[in-house]
Amino acid sequence: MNISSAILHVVPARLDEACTVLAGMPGVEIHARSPEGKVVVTLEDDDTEAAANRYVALHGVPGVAAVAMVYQYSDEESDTEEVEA
Amino acid sequence: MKLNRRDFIKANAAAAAMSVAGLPATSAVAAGKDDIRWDKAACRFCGTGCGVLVGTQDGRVVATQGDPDAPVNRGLNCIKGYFLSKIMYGADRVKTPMLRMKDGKYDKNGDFTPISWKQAFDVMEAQVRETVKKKGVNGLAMFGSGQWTIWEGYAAAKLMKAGFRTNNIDPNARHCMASAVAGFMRTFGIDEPAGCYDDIEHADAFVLWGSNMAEMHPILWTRITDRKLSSKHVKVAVLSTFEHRSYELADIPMIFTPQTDLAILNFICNYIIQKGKVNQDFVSKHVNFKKSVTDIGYGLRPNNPLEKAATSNGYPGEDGKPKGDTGKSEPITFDEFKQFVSEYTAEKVSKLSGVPVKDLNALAELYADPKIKVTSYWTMGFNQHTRGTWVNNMIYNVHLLVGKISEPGNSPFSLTGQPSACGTAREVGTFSHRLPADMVVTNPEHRKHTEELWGLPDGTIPDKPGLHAVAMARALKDGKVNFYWQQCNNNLQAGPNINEELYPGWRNPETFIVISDPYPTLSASYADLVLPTAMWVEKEGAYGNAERRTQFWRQQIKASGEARSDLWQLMEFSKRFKVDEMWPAELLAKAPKLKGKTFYDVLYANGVVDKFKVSEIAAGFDNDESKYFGFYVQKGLFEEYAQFGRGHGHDLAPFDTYHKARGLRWPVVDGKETLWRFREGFDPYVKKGEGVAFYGHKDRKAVIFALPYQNPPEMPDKEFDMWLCTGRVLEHWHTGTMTRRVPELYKSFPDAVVFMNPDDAKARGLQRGMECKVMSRRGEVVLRVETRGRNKPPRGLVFIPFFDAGRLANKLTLDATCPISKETDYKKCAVKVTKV
Repeated sequence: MNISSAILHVVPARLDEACTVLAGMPGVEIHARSPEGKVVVTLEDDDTEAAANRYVALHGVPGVAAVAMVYQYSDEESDTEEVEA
Repeated sequence: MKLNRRDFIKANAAAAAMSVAGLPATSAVAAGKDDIRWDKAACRFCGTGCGVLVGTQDGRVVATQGDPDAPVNRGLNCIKGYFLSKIMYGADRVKTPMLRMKDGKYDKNGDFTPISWKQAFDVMEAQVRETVKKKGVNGLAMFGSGQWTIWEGYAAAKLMKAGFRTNNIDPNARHCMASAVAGFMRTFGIDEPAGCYDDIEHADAFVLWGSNMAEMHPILWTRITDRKLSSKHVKVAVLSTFEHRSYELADIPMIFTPQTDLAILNFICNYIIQKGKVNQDFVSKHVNFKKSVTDIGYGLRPNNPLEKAATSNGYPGEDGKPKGDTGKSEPITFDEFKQFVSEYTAEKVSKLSGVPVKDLNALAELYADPKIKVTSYWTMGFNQHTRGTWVNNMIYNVHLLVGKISEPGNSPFSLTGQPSACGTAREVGTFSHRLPADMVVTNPEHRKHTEELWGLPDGTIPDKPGLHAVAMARALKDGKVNFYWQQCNNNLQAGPNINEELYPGWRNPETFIVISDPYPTLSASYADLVLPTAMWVEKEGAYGNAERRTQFWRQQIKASGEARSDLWQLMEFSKRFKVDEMWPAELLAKAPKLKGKTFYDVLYANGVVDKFKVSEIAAGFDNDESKYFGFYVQKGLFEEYAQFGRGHGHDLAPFDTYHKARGLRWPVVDGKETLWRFREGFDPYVKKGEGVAFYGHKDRKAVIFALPYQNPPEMPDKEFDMWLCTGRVLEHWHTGTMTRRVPELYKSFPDAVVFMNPDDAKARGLQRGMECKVMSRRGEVVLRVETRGRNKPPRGLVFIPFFDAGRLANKLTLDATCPISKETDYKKCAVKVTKV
């Protein structure tokens, strides 16, 4: 299990566009957004291949100027699996 | 149950992010109830120096979180910092010392065989003794790191400079920061930036000189983005030799021809002078003008035609005497400087650099307009430059001419690439020419002061600079250095010109190569002895970041297997040598009380370093070195070291303070840190009524240097028709030793690619995703073409990241350096790209 949260800075004019793309990404959940362009999301990794790319994909979402991660949790079982993968 | 737990953790993750973003949160941050112990640390990666909270459970790091109380990152992490909890758990950690052996004995062509620490040190000791017998102490060399903790760098410098009595110790920071250091010393007479990260929230304009902060310093970039999005008037100018992610925020985007940054900087000075925007009051009070020698060569081997022709490269000439001095300069007047830069007109520089005149003018106006507060950032684009010292001097020229320095928002700021390039490599003085607190081995007073503080006889420290990074590699190949110990870095992958100048030295039958590393890096796989090393929070540590902030952490967990910290390795190995056998009798005669003592006794158990008790270590935390040696090792080393800076502009707070604070920016005087140096009201070293004082120089003035544009040593020609620039990507840090062992980071950018312009690809019959061969005069690499990625080079330039051990960018690079700083230019050489 791998759960994390991030803050995105989005150019305000493209906030809606960016949030639509984010909402459509599997494992991504939007928890808050502010008119200045800050968006808080959580990311859930369920040991699928796609999950690894999701973090990086955040940087490529249209209108996203910066991505900062805040919290990351991974528990032991999935660690072992991932190391072996 | 699993679902509930997942929801609980998710709620906490979201709450943490909302709180950091300043948005209303509904629940508290995870702590306490989870049986996770949270404690602070500095991030293991870049020079930004973010604070993280490390979550430990059952002796294992299970989680990390951006530290909400850390002033640098305010709870944020970049993607690398985000996965910090995994860097120690790569499946291939080196667990025991490994020696190349055949028939039960060391053999350079043998196979790696696990041995004990005692056996490892027995072999090392024998190799050191044999080398000293054959080549003298200068046959020994140590290559360290800007990732060493402060006390590790300090202990290493002592062992080499005062124990073995050779200055052959250099950090990998030579490859990344040496030009910045030389620039600071020449312009200000004291190292490290005047400003700090707080400039971000005060600046009206940001100028990125080559730096791709969006990928390489993402947290600082987030702060800049926040500043720009929340203050409409803020402008961002981005200059580079290719387009990258930072351009997404650029109001003035510029692509310049490699090396022409020199000309652009002179143009800006010319513009400021022509428009009458010189801050006359500031310049007349605080600035001297100088003109430097210019025919200084390129740091290549002396038999290179370019070096034979150079008249001021300092190399031995026909008569055996040095040809000039690369750093020499003489005073000139403002009018002479004005005359000097007058040839750098917008039209001429536009033609040379490829930057449109209107963009050059817009950029220059940001600096010229007295109402705009400007912060300039640069990293490897300036530092890794055959004129790296000059280009650092030249950005200060611009800021000094308009007096935009040492005050909130006005800041020429040299970013760093390693977590303790400043704190360890620079401040401790692990360079081959340096001593602590900006002192140098060539100055008799500095040596004397150091010997006094170390309780050593006069004449202990040798008076000649030792071998710098590139010279060390050449000396291994040439058989002049036979014993080489590398800690905390991967120079076989990160050093330049691997085929011709690195690999031959490592496999030279005369040499013995020792690598201390947690992982089997490329360096380790070509070594003779590999020592398993404790990393990051497996030991108590301290780093110093780019804004002069010193930060501490406690040991959180036990090291893996038999791994021991670099500090333990240095101190334990020092017990093997007695001063009586290693020092000349006349030196020892000056200090009879040292007779019969080991290096360990003389350097570490010297009554100062061993002053503090193990019982002072915080309850509940391990400290394996201190328990082993029987005193609080880190505290003793730090307090001895801190004596060098206190009262000399580099004041550090007492040891215990740093375990409580979220880092403090030196000079720390009377418990107060310094945000802006050289400015009255901020810096305690500036006297009342002085306003500004660049007190690194005796006359308390900074220097503006007249320096020209010059071509680099290798440029594209008919055969090798493209520029090669190397560097990093967001997901990986340096040679990938840690980040490539984090599954998520590995998967997101598994192999290096060559970023190139689609038209250049097409002209060579290549398409995105195809394999191609990139060749220089020194080597070749096969990798895939990327024409639509995050980096968009102009025609005629390719970019290759150097993290990939399977696709070695540094087989292609040239070992040309700035002749003053001796730092390699990794950003410019000539290559050709062909179909495989």
